[in-house]
Amino acid sequence: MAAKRKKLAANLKRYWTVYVLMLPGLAYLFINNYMPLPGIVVAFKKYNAKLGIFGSEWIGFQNFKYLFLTSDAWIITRNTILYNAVFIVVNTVFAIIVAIILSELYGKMKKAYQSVILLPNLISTVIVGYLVYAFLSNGSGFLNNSILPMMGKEPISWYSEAKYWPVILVIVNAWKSVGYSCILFLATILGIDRSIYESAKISGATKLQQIWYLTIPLLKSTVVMLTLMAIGRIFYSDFGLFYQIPMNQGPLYSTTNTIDTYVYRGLLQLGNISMSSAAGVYQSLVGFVLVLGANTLVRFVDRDSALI
Amino acid sequence: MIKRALAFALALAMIISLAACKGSAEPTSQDPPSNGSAATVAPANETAPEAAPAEIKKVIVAFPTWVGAPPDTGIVQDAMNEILSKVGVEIELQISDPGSFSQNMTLALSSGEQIDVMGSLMANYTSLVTQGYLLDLEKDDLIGTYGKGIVDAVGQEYIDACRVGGILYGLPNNRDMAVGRFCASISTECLEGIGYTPKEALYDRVRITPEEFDEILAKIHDKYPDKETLRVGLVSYMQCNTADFIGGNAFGVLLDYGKTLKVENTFETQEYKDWCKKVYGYNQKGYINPDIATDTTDVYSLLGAGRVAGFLEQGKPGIQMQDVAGSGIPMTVFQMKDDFVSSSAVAGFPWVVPYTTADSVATMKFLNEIYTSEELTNLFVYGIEGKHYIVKDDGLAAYAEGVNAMNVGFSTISWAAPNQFLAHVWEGNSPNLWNELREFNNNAAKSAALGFTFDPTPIATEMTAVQNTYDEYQKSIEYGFVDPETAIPEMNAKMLSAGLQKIIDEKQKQLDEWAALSA
Repeated sequence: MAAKRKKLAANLKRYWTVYVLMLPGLAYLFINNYMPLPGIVVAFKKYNAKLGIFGSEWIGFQNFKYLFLTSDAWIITRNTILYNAVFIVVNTVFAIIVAIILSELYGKMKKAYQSVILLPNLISTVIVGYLVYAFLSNGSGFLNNSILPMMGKEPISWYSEAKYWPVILVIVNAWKSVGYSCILFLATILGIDRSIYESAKISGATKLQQIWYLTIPLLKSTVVMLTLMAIGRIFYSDFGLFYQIPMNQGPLYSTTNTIDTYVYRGLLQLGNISMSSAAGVYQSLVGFVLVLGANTLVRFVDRDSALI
Repeated sequence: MIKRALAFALALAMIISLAACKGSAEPTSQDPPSNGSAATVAPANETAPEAAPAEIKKVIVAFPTWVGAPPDTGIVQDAMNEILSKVGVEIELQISDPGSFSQNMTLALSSGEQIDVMGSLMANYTSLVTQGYLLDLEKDDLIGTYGKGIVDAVGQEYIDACRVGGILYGLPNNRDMAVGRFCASISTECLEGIGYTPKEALYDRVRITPEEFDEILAKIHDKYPDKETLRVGLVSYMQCNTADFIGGNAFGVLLDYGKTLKVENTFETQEYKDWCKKVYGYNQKGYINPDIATDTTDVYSLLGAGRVAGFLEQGKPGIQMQDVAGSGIPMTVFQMKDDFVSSSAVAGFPWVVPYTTADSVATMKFLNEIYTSEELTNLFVYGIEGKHYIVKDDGLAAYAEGVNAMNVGFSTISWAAPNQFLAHVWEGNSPNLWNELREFNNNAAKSAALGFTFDPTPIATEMTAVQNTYDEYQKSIEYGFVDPETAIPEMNAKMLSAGLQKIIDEKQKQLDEWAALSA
C-alpha cells in the first residue's frame, strides 16, 4: 500500500504537467456527465415545475409502466436489440475488411478513397432518408422504375411492406457507418510493427496468410473494446435511422419501431418529462448491466482483452 | 524548458477559462429550486399596485413565428415600448421558430428563466398546465384588477373556456373559433374545364352536398387524368366529420357536433366507416396519389404547379383568399357540413403567464394593453406603418412599397395574436372580415363540452400505446389503401387491447366531473 502511494507520488512529481492537462477533460466529464446525475429522480416523480425536480411528488415506477404494459413492448425491445446486435456484427466485419484494404493501398488515391468512404457518415439522416426514397419510392423510385422492370419483376410497394426493412436498414446503416468505424481499425493496423510482416514474408507467408494470421489477431483487442462499448448502447437505437429512413410509415412499424421511436411517437402529444426520463433510465440501466456482463465474459475467456 | 513553461501556461489558461465558464453557469443551475419556491409566494410588488409609474418594469414576451425572430424585431419592440411606457412597462420580444419554440420554452421554464408572457401556440397548453408551469390568472383578482379590458375584448364565455379544473391559466385570443367542417378547395380552372359553374359563395364557401362533390371529382378525374384529383391529409377525417375530438385526439369523441356529453369510440361509428369507404373508393378510382403516404410536398406548391386539382380542409370566412394567396391560382371552396365550435377550439393556444414571471402585475398590465390597443396590435401583427406595411384608402393593409412576403422586416402569425380583430384587415379580404368572423363564431353549432379541457396524465400509458397503434394504421386506412371493412376492426381490436376503452372512460369521468362543477 505504502509502496503504491509512493509510486503515485513519484508519478505525480514526474508527470505533473500531463496531469494538469488532464484536468479540463476531467472537469468536463464531471460537469457534463456526473453533475446532472441526481436529476435521475425525475423518472420516479410526477414532475411539477413549480415544485421543482426534487420537490415533486414520488410516484414510484408509474412512469415506467408505459414501456412494458403494451402489446408493442415485446416488438420494440426485440427490434432494438436484434438490430443493434446485427449492426455490431455487420459493421465490425465490413469495417475490418475496408480497413485492411485501405491499409494495403499506397499512393495518391488512398486519401481520396478514405474520404469517399467517410462521406456517408457526414450526410444528415434526413437527406439519407430521401436518397433511400429516390431508390424505393412507388411512383418515381429507381428500383421500381428501372431495376425491377429490367429484371422482369413487378414493382414492390416498399413503404408498405414491413418484411423488406430489416435488410434495407442494415444496408443503409452499414453504408453510413462503416467509413467512420474503419478509422479506428485502420489506425490500429498502421500501428502494427512492420518488421513482423517482413519476417512473415521471409518465412514465405502469402498476403492472405499475413492478413489472417497477423492482422486479424492483432486487431482483436480493438474489436473487443469497440464491441463492448457498442453493447453498452444496445438498448438505444439510432433515432434518425429508424424514424427518417422508413419515413415514419405506419405499416412498417412491426420491423422499424424501436424503443426510441416508440417513446417519441407516444410522448409527442403528452410532452411528459418524467416519462421520457424513465425511458432513458431504463435504457442506460440495461446497457450498464449488459456491458458489465459482457466484460466479465470477456475477462473469463481472455483476461488481457477485458476493459476492467 | 520553454516547451514545459508553455505547456503549463496553456493548461493554466484552459483551467481558468473553464472555471469562468463554470462560474457563470452556476446561477442558472442553482436557480430553479430557489425560484421555484419563490414563485408560489406572490411577488412583493403586488401589494403596492399604484406605485409610481416612473418605475419601468420589464416584461419578457415569448412566442413563435413561422420563421423565427424577424430582422426588425428590435425596431418594432422600441415602437411598442414607447406606447407601453404610459403603463410603466417595457417589453422584450423573444421570438422563436416553430421547431425550436416548444423546446426553448421547456428549457427556459424548467430552469426558472424569466418569461412573463407566452403564446402557447405549438407549446401544448394542457401539458403546460399539468406540469405546473403556469400562473393562476385570477389569484388575488389579478385579471379583475388589471385586465378588465381583456374580458371585454374576448368575452367572459371564451375566457371561461380556458379554465382547467376551474382555474384560469390562459387567455383566449380573438380569431375564428368555429370551423366549417368538410370543406374542399378546388382549382377554379379545373371547374371551368369540366363546365361547372358554382353557386354563389356565402362568406367564401359554396354549400353543396357530398353527392354533388363526388360528381365534380369524377368529372375532374375524367378530364384531367394526369392530375392528382384530391389530396387528403392526416387531419382530413378530423376536419370532415361531425364529431367533437375531446382533448384534440380521436380516442373518444362526442358525436353529432357534441350535442350530448356521451363519449364514444370513433372507430366503431358508422361515420368513420363511411368516411374510410369513401376515401377507399377515391383511391380505387385513382383520385389519390399512390405516393401520398410518403409525399410531404406542400399542397399549395403542387396546386400552383398544376399537379393537384384540389384538397380537403376546414373552412372559415377569408379561407378562399388564404388558398388563393397560398397557391397563386384561383380557387373555389366548397363546404359540405356545418360550422362548428368544438370543445377544445377556444383553449387551443391561449396566451399564458408562466410561473417564472418577475412581476405578474406589470405582465397583466401589458396583456390588458395588447388586447385593447389598436396601435399596439398593428405593430405586433404587421410592424411599423410606412416601413413594413401601408394602409390603403379603403382601410385595408398591404405591404409597403418594395416590400413583399419574402423580404418584409417584421411579421408574426396574425391569427395567433391576442386580439387580431383590432388590426387592419389585409388586402384581398372583405373589409368586413372581423365582423364576418365574429358572426361565424356566434352562429356556429357549439359543443356541449365547450370549455372542457382534458387532462391526459392519468392515462398517459394508454395514450402512448394507442397513439402508436393509430400511427401504424392511420395512413393505410384513411388514405384508402386498404379495405376498411377488414382494416378498421383490426385496428380497433388492437387499440382496445392497448387501452382505448380506458381513455374513453377517463374522458367520460373528467367530462362528468366538469359538467357537475359548471352546473
